[in-house]
Amino acid sequence: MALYGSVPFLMAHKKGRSVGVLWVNAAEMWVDIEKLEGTNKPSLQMQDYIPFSTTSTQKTSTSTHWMSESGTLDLLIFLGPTPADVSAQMTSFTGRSAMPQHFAIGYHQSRWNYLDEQDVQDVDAGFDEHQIPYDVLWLDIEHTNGKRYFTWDKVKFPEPKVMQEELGIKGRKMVTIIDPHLKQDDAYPVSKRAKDLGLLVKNKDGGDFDGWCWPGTSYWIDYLNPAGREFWAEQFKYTNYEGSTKYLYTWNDMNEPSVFSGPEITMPKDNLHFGGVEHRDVHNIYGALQHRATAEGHRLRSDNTDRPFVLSRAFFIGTQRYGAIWTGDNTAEWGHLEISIPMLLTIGVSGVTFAGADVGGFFGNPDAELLTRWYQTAAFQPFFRGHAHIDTKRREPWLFGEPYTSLIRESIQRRYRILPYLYTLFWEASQTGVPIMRPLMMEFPNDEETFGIDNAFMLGSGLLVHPVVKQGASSVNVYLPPSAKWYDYDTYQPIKSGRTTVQTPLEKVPTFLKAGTILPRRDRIRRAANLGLRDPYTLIIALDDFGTARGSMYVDDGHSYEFEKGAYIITDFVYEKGVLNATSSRRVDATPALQKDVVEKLGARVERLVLVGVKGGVKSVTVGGRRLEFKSEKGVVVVKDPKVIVGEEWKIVVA
Amino acid sequence: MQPILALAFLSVALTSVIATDPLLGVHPSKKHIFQAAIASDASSAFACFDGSKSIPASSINDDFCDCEDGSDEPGTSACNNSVFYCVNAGHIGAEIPSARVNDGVCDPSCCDGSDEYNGAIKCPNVCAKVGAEFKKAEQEKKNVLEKGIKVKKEYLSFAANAKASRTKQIKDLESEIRNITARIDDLTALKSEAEAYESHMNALLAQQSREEAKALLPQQLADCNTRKQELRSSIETLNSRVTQLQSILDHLMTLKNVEEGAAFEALLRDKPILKETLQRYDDFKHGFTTQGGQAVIELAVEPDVVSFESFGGAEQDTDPLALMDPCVDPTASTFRCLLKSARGLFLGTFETVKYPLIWPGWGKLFTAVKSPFSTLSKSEENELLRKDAAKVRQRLQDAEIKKREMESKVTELKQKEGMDLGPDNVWDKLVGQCIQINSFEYNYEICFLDKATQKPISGGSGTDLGKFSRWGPRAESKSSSGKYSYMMFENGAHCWNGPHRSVEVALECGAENKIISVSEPSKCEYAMKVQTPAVCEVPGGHDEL
Repeated sequence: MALYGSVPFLMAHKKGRSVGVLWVNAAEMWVDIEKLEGTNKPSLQMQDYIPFSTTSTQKTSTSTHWMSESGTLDLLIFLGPTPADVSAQMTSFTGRSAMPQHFAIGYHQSRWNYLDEQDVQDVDAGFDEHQIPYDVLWLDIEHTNGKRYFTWDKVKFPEPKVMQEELGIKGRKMVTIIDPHLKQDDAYPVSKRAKDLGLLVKNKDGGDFDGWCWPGTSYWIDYLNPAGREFWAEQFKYTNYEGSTKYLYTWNDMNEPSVFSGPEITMPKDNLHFGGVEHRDVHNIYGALQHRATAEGHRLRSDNTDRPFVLSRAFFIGTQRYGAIWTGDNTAEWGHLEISIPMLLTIGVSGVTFAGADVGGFFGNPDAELLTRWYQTAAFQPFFRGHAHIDTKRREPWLFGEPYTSLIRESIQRRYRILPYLYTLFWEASQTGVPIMRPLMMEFPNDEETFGIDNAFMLGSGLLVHPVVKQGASSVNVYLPPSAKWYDYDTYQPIKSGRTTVQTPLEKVPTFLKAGTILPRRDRIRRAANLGLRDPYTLIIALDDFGTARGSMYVDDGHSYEFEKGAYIITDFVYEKGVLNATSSRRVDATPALQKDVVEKLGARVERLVLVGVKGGVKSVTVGGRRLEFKSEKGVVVVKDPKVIVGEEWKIVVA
Repeated sequence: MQPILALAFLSVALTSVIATDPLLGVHPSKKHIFQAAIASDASSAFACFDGSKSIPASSINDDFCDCEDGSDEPGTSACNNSVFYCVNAGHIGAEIPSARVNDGVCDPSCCDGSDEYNGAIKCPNVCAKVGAEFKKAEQEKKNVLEKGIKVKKEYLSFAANAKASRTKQIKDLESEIRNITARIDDLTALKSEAEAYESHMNALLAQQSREEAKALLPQQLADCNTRKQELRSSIETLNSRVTQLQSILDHLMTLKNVEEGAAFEALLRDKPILKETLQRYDDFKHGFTTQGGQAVIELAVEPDVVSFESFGGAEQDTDPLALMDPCVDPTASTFRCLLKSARGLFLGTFETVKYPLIWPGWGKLFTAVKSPFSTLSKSEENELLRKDAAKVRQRLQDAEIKKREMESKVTELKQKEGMDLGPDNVWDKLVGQCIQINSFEYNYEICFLDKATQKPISGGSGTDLGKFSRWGPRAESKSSSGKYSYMMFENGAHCWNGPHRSVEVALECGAENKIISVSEPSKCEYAMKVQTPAVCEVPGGHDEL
């Protein structure tokens, strides 16, 4: 599989110590990683340069050797001492991930290509008919007039605004692809104007670089040129991008950049960028700068009121500030499902947390089992999109019949239920730099057994997911770190920690709730994420051995920048000694008017508490002296409708 | 303000979404169950429809899902598996999934706007308009159905007749095939006899023609050699005259070049034609210097004397048709046959005794002599055919062609008889009937139960999209509407980077056969919507209106 992005970052971890190295360079590079026996240490060892390094007692050590072809170099070393600390330190330098739109963390449906407006309508209706929620319908390159981005095929898409509005009215969005290559055509204003303004990447002789991509001979905007980025951003204005509406967002593909006629299918290294810089020096940053300029374009078109949503294939240090990425063109094979987990873990640890792999695999045709397992896996990964190559068969979630349609529906619904939790994790990432999808070692840095695990992951600190990624696997061997207590997420029953075998019939996605977690959910499933923003919450309260649990929830309007002025709610839930205590914190600099409005605007009631791991009988549950209905079974107590509001402060007493 | 009071106030504001009307969203057929529950104040007033538990009436539509089957919350979005009933006064009632209650979207199915009642959005009641449009559409649908049913009845009566007539046709054809097979056997036997005569005859004719050719050759060769001698002497005359002309001109050139240069120049100035002539001769001579300065014409025919052997000798075949035997040729007159017979008899006696004994002309001669005015009986015809290989071959060929035609017709008829032509063979009349549509840059054609093709509108050759392969949809999962609602065409031309082309035709009732739309959802897997009277059904199952 090709590599589309590069963040030259390496994290090393051992019990009690994590370090990170960031090699800030955008040229072609090689990194050798070598495991060495203890007595045979190389003379240059990373720990020799770390003043607080503990003496190694391990038999093996790791040495790395970094080589870059050219360019400038900054070397940064982050000292931890925990993996989360390294992430925080690294992203304090490279930038924290942008708070995404709420819709963007729902499910995305893509295909190369949805053919015309009728097709879009039919696919959209298919989701409703089968009661499968989704948020965004994607259009690949065929929607354009001859691969001229920012245009429409007028025959197949005669009414793009009406089409987007029909989606928009149901809370859904559309994404169109906008690639960096511009068809050489003087009748195509974007290309003509960029050329006239001198904003194109140049060849070694200073002429406009001429290469071959989807539209035929093309130009490339020089995103290293601030004027190039500004020009690009301008193109997203509603007045410039004809047929675009506020429901339309963007996908930047082929931005490594892909040049069919070039060496290694990219630009010649002696091409020239802004300031006379050779392409060899900046190759790896080019695509990320397009991503940045596109995100800036989204802000520009909405006058800084609407958060951008831009998916990019290329990425670099700091991409998390601009939007989401995906792992590129994968294949409908079990091996590609399996590797999506370590790939996304690595990318997340490198700071780019909003990432996903194409569900089902881009090339080839997945069978029903593979597709089902892929949905089950990706439903717990940060960016969740089904996508397929033009040569493949249709694979919309309802096309494989039962039981698959129901299983895929259940996977997507499982995603939608945890959106409040997921959105809170995105907030956390935007504040602390800790990825949403984490390796087990990040949560359990002192448990050596977790260090090598890359077939399971933590979603936040409360959920451990061990997806089934092998064909016909009837069970998986799961490691549940014994320093915590665990519940099966589906049954809420305690499960033995350590190594344990879990049966995995096709409907089972081994998912575990860490005791001590309060996980906010929305159990009502709407057609699209934003339609449920005011729906009531369900709180899953998984008690640890001390009968305590905690969690928090972040809420804002899901789309604007009002949160930057304080228009958000953070509620901290603490359950101890039989009392669930909700306290709210908001930014101190929020205006009093904002403080007054915010709960009214964003608050929603809690309709259900699920207490997991309750020992002994429960006699009563009360809120403000009002007795609540509840039912208790196998240590699980479900409390009916306490009618408390998230964003306010309250106590619920379980006796 | 006490925190508790603030909470109470906000609770009212934020929980006002709770439906107070316990009958909201209840389907009319279930209304009595809910009414009975409301009338009771027992803690088990309402039993969940799945019987899993009983709850008090206050739990109905209280925006919390008590029943696993969702039956307690018909009016709210609390249960994902419940449905909401909109009354739609002025139109007809409709059920929508509970997930669409108070989701901020005016659901088109609820024209009365009753699905959105929490104040977040106001949905206008558009039932009057929707109802009117619906009625109009229903009437149109009814009209289409009526027309469709009428046509369908024709299809059905055609099918009933066609079945009977096919059975008879097959029977008749099979009997004819038996007859013709017997006749072919006869002719085959006759053919081998006739061909034996023919080959003997050919050998005889070849012999005769060789003899005649031999007789003519000496004179022809003598003529040829005489002509050749004549040509040779005229060439010699021409050559000597050319030499003469050359010497005159050479003399002129010498004058010009040497002796009387200046005077000659003056002459040339006065007579430009002379100058040009000399110039041309100079060029001509110059061109011949490499050949010794003399032009010689040679007759390139070798050898001088043409021999008999150079025609291929005695083994050369002569076209037997050129020497048609008038006694075998049915168009030749009896007189010519008689003449020939006499000659043949003479030659036969002269050369060998064998040929005349098996001479095919005997038959005609015999008949001509015996009964010149009588017509031929079958056995007499056979007798004639026995001696006429060309005719017997023609007859046999005709008979075989006819047999093959009948056989393929039988195959076709039997194939149709074995075909699944739908309920009551309603598709019988439509087999092979074609309809077309232009969509974007292509013209698409399907021929029912036969084949599908695609042609560029701009011209050029068509692409095979598949042959009719089966009833039913492409994917089994879609079979809810019955297999006769889909016609599959498969195994068309192979697609680069893709499968063999195929078309799924979805059939719906229409007044006529018409392609409504065509699309290519996956590469080279086409989907068509087609209207046809053949699938029109009156609700209730009887084709009566």
